[in-house]
Amino acid sequence: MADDLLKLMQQWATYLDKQSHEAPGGTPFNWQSPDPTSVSGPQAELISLLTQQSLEFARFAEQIIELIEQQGRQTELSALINHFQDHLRRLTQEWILSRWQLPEQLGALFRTHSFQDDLLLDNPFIHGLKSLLNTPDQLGLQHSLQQQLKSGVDLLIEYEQALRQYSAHYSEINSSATRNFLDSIETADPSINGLGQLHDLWVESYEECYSKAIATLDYRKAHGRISNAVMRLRLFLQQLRNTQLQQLGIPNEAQLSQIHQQLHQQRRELKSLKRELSELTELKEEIEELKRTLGEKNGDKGNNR
Amino acid sequence: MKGLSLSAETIREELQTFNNRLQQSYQVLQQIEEVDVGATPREEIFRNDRVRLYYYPPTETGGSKLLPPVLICYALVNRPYIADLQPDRSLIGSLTRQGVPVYLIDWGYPEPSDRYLTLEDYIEDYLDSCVRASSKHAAQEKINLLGICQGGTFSLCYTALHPERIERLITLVTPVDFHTADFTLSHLAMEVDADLAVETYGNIPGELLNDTYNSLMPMRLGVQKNLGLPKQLSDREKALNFLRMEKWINDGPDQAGEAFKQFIQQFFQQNLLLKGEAEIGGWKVDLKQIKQPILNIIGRHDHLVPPSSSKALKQATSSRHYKELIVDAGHIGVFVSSRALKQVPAAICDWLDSPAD
Repeated sequence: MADDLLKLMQQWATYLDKQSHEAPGGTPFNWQSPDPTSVSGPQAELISLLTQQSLEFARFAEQIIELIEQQGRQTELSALINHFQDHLRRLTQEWILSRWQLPEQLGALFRTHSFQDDLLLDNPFIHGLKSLLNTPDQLGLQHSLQQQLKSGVDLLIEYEQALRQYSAHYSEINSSATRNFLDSIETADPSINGLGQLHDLWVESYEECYSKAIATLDYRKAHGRISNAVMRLRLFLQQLRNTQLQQLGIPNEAQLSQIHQQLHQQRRELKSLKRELSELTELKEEIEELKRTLGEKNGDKGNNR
Repeated sequence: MKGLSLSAETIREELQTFNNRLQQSYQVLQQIEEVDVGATPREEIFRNDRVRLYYYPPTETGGSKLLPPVLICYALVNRPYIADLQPDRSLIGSLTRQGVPVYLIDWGYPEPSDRYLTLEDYIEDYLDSCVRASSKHAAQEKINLLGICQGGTFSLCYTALHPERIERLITLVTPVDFHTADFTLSHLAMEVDADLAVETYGNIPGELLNDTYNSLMPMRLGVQKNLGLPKQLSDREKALNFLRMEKWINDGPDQAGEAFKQFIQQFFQQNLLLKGEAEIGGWKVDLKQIKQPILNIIGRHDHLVPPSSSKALKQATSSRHYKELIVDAGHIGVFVSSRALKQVPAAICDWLDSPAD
């Protein structure tokens, strides 16, 4: 985290420094890098986020300034809008991939290596496959393991298709949001003269299209499909790991879960017993109270006699 | 483009302002050491496993009337300190200042060993024991129950199952009809395999739910919120407000697997609460058993629980004393925004103080 933050700070500082030398007409920036080590916790994360977001904003702004200065005040900004759309497409794709990312173990398996890479033949994917296929024959698992691998591939294919279907919805949302955005600019009255306004208009345009799109049955199905595909893959890998751990005689997640279930059951039984005991104690106290009252009444009667 | 008149000069000015605020934000953030939440004095009066029950005594306001106590049942999906975020944004603080003794249930953070906790455990054990403990502490036979969001749905279930223990019922931003056309969260939950989710994750990670909520308005809660940050953070008090809220947003506990599954399947996917077919521990939840006076508070701009879902309560119970209050706020704003806090606690106090018949 601290490294990332430091890196971002340095990027930001370099960027601003560059701007101060290169920006035509002088730079609007006069910025001093905060000491990232002086902040911690959520504030540090926030600084990181701010820096990242500001970089994007400044980059976008500088491009517009450049375009305007090259082509004059009444410039046609279609090139910029195209650029913005590409930028948006990239951001959306990153967001989709990070939201529906492959389970960690599988993500590691699919990290690519170049042919010059020392890890080419010993990368996590090869290593994982080797360890799977090296299961002792005498356990009779070779065939079932092959079947498992096939199931894994099927799940991966389903994940890939689900992701494609889901991404298609976002491409459509982006396109219609951009159309909506351009239409809104055309009809803006009074006209838009600031980047902040432009951003707000974009957000409005996007959210309008987005809320309509996600309310459709198609989107619902695509969302359900990708959610379930990611979970099935994750579960598959967990089950594979459980089998391996079991073969090695190491307690696995499934066994731990069974213990949790038993513990839960026992906790419930214990609570139920405690409740019964408490009710019995209350009854006992009531009986004692009644006995005392009865004794006192009998005593009174005896005295009266 | 007709509606666009950007000039390099204006953009430079805008960037300059943005940058100045950014610098101020960095300075402010560097000066903030701790983000504190929970402002109102309280004491723990009961615990059951990870569940805690807190008591917030009414503030001595010299001559102000002491009102009947209220037990707050918050949702499982977030932490209950949002009801007492900071002195000037505290539903609990506002209530105690107006003479209401408040009890608050804190469900705690479920651990992996809590995966098998069911809705029966939450409602028939934890909520029930808190109702009993608060009634005993307040020396009342019945208590007023105030449920927020999912806690409101729990409160409805509990009141339907144990009407003899509840005096009055207040529901805040509570989902009742899970199948209204504009209930996006429910719409998205329809195709998700809840059995698979629990088999895969055990307890459902809080982050996963947070991502889901954020995905309902990705641009507004992403780009727009982030770009507005320098303005928000350039002032210390505003920055602290923001950080407190962020702390709460990112502090979503994991959800006990079984209870989550039951809630998704029975409530979101099958809408059984409204059909009178939801089951808690083998007992059917019949909302018609609820005859208590009800105050139903709804956020007009609630994007998580749309007003249409909460309004279904009006026809669902047998209460002859149903009152609805629609607040000009979103889901959280109903009990956090300064504007709503001028309206909501006062309305609750008036209602508690008014005769039921």
